[in-house]
Amino acid sequence: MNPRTDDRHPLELLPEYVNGRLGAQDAAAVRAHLDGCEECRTELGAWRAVSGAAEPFSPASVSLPAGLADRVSEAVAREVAAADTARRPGGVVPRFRWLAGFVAAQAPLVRREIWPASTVVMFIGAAVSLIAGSDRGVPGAALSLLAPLAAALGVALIYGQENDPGLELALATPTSPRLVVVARLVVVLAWDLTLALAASAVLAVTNGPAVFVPVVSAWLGPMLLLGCLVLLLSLFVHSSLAIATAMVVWVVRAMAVSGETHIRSFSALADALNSVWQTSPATLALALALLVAAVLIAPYREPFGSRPSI
Amino acid sequence: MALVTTLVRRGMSHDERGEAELVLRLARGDAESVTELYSRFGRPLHAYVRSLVRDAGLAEEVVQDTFVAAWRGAARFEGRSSLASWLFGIARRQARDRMRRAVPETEPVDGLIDVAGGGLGPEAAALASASRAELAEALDRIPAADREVLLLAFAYELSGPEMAEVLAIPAGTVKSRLFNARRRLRAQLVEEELR
Repeated sequence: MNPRTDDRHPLELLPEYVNGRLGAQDAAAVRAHLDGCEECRTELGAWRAVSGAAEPFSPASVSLPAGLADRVSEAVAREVAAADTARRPGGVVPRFRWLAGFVAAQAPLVRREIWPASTVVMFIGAAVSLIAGSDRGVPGAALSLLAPLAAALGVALIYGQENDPGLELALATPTSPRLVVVARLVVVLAWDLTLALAASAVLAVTNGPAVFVPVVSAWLGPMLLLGCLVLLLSLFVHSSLAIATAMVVWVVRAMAVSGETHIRSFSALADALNSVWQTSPATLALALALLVAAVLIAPYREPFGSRPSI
Repeated sequence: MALVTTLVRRGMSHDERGEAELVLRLARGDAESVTELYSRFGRPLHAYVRSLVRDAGLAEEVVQDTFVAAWRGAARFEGRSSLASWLFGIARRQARDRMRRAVPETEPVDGLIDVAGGGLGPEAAALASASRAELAEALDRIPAADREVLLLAFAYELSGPEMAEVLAIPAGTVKSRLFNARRRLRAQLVEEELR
């Protein structure tokens, strides 16, 4: 049976009547009703009894520990100080330390497949380069083809709701999405750069130290350019489109490098493409421009809106 | 100042306006305002937290966390609730975070229970005639969620809407919870008499 709520017996109002939180008008009505209603007076008595039983828990009965006020003030003061340091990092070292911690904290947030996937691809690139040796020109051709692609595929997956289930949480924090994007780019590219440098070092050991610089310059510029292009596309449209574009661009480039095409007009295009995919100041500047564009649009990406999935 | 103007326009009492200004100072990051907040609400909050967290030391930590969280979250206080219910709600969440399972989920109280004697009348009469010691013991033994709703009403004197906010349930549910908790208190009394 539910508490009766008919108009004649104001049963639902009695708890607030007892604890004094009923509005003056309602309280007057209840008082008038109680005068003539034995049943409701019994009800009132029951609530008063319950209220009496609650008395030992009331603020007046529970003794406030000595010094709690001070400890509360201290806890808030610590929080204020922490907020101040976060807002105005004093000096270069704490600021750098905070930034380094922030970048490192992104590593567990990006998709876990990125790490083994790029490692395997780099390993294949290094292995094929080692086996092929230097009999076909510059050593490390396979590495220079695979390293930029591995990095680009990883970069395509660093941001967006489809890649980061915790993004909603991250967006609720005062940290700018731009900083998040850059930090994740740094983490993923640092991993790929480390792997590719290690692979190049292995090639330098087997082929002689002189090949190190040419090998590195064969993949470094293309890796940065392709990575930044993919980042921009993944933020502007969608990760899947970014990946598809990276694949197409890179296959065309690979055909241009290998020269394995019988289309004559293609050779002019191949030359043009080869001039872009270098480690040159122009290529690096182009990569930087794409990165700046990506960082600028990062906050405007619709994190949860419908996006075409290809 | 927009918050205060809205609240004033809504026809707030002087006391409520004082609360709104206090929240505004909190939101601006004024740490001094925490002292004022504590002097107003420290005692009831501590008593409430002690009823949730029986360990005295842990309860103190929860109270500290509550004021820190209030200072941090003051910007999100929109003036739709009273300062008391906002703080009680924070304290409740902080206590839960600390205790995980020990603090009641407000789940199981909605099912009605049968009490010997049936209707409200005899139940009310029995409660009214029980001694305070018996009632206090019964209150200690009923499920924590039932005790909590009774304490929010009678020990901390929250209004119906305030209780609804603290417990994060609809206002109508608060009423049925109160009546159910009272029934359970009565059932506990019966059980102890039989023992």
